[in-house]
Amino acid sequence: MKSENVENVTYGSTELRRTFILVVDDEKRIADTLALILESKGYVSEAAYDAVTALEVCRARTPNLLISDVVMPGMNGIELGIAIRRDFPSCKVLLFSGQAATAEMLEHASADGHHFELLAKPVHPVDLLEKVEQLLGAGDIGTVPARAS
Amino acid sequence: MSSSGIRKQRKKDSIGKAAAKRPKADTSAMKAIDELERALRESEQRFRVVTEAMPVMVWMAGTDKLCTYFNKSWLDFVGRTLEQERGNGWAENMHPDDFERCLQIYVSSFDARQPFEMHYRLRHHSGEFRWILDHGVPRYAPDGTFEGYVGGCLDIHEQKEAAEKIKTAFLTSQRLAAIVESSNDAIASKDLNGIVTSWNPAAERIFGYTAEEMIGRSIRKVIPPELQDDEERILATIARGERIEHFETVRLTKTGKRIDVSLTVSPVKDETGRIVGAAKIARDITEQKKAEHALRTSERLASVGRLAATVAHEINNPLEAVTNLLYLAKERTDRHDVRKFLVEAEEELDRVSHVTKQTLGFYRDTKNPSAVRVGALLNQLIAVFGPRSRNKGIEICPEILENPEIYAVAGEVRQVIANLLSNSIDAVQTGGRIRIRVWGGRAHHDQPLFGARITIADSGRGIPAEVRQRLFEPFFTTKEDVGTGLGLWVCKSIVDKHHGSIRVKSSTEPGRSWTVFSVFLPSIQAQAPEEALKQAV
Repeated sequence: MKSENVENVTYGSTELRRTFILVVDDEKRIADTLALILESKGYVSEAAYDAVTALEVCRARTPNLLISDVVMPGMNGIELGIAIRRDFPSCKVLLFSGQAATAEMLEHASADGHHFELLAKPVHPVDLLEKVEQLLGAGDIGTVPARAS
Repeated sequence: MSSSGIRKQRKKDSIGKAAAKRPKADTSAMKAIDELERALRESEQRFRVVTEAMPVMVWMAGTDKLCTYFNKSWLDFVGRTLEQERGNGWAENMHPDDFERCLQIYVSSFDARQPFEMHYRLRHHSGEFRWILDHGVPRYAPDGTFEGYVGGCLDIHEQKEAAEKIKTAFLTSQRLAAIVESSNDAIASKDLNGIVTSWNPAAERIFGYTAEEMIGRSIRKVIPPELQDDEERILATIARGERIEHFETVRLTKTGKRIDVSLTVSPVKDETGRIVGAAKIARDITEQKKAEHALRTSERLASVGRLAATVAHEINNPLEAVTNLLYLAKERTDRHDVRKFLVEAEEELDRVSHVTKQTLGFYRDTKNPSAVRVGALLNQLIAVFGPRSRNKGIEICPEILENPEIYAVAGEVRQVIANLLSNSIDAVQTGGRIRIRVWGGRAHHDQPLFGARITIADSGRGIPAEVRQRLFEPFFTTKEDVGTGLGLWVCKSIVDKHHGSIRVKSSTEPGRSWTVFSVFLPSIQAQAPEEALKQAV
């Protein structure tokens, strides 16, 4: 059975900032600093440095939001995004990348019916937080119902 | 009448028999006849003496068309006896292809009592068929009685062959003239002083001078002032009997416009083999040059673009980290925390400046050749491509066994290696390897040329033979989404320009596939290459 972020459901809409956000980047410093920033804004955040670890984290506790780099060794961010949407549909996905080539990768994914939002690195933390708020506010994250597995 | 018919009658016939058949008469008449016969024998004797001595081959035939006599010349020619030749025996030595035609001439002329002339091949005693001119005329007795034919033959083999040769030569020259006339390339000939002796319509069109304006004038008219030395070199080469092929240079048209041409110049010899001039083919390659230039520019832009993308990634990541770190530093109040974030930010900025330095070094290029060490270029490139390969999980193993100095345009050599390396990174799967080796060595063939050899070997899928053939063609790509199809073409043109060579070997065997690109760049002495490169540009 997949675990849901039960904590959020219990705390209700006023406890939105207890939302769990998973940050994935093979550049450890980026993943770590972003997780710290999100933590400082009251989110629960964890950093993973590759897609496989990220999926393991998800299995332990489904995030409300995944923020992932695109170009990573092994499984890339797009593949990770597709897997997460399939296995954890309640989790929103936001990609960010410093490579122009990712635009093409996204187009290919889009042609296959997988649409992702992409932020270009470097993205200022203020802008990123705004985007996060916007994404999480769009869905009623605070009251995510428990899913049947 | 068929030839076999003639042959059947052959044996019955003889001069002697004709005389024996005459009826007897009274004595006085007999005497007169005897007298006549004696006179006849005497005249015949004289005829024989004369004909036997003649170099001309002589034959005689009776009223029945059958031959009765052949002189010594004839018999010597065919190497047969009179007995064998008599009747139609002689015809056995006529060339089968000529027989029917000659028989027709002989029979129809004979029946009409008309002189005839025919050419045919007759087998010489050596076995060789030789061309014979045979001239036959009817002969008559003093009283006007038709007695048959007499003919004289000449061996005209040499003349006939010479005539054939002339005819062939004429046809060949006509054909050549037609080709020259209709050619799209300018074709001109000149003597050893460079004076134009012919000028075809394409030359008129390309250079703007009519044949009238050029013939008898110096070819130097179409050579730009700074390239006048070209002509000396061309004439010297031609005088040595050597050919110049696809020499790319610049020429002037009548209006003063400069055009790029590719010249092929061959020595022209007279019948004794003496070099008397040169034939020159000039192809206008102005458009081709423009297109090539445009292609090179676009590839340079594309490779700058690719590089920019690689570099952007290398800069954007540290920038992202710096932005985050500074944000965190601002937020924190604990001095220790703030300091930690700032130190990390500083490290990230160092990363950025390292990349920038490399990148700026990368494209700060002079077009002039200089002394270059391939090993140094390779290290810079690996620093640039390292992150891209690490991202893909590919190991790049450089092996600089030797680091020979070559005289080259550094940026161009870097581009060759960068393009090959970039291709290898694209080809290799995660976990694959790319081995780059640099050492000093000789050219691919056993040429005495010494220089730098660079091999880039990868464990990619390999290149199928049919793809390998077209690899260096412009616009040929197997990477439809991202390839320009110009990378290897540019590599080849750069390597060619440096008088080097580039080769590829590959295996597509599943599980054991590999590809090796091997580049040789000669280390020419400091003086020579400048010349060579200038000429090549």
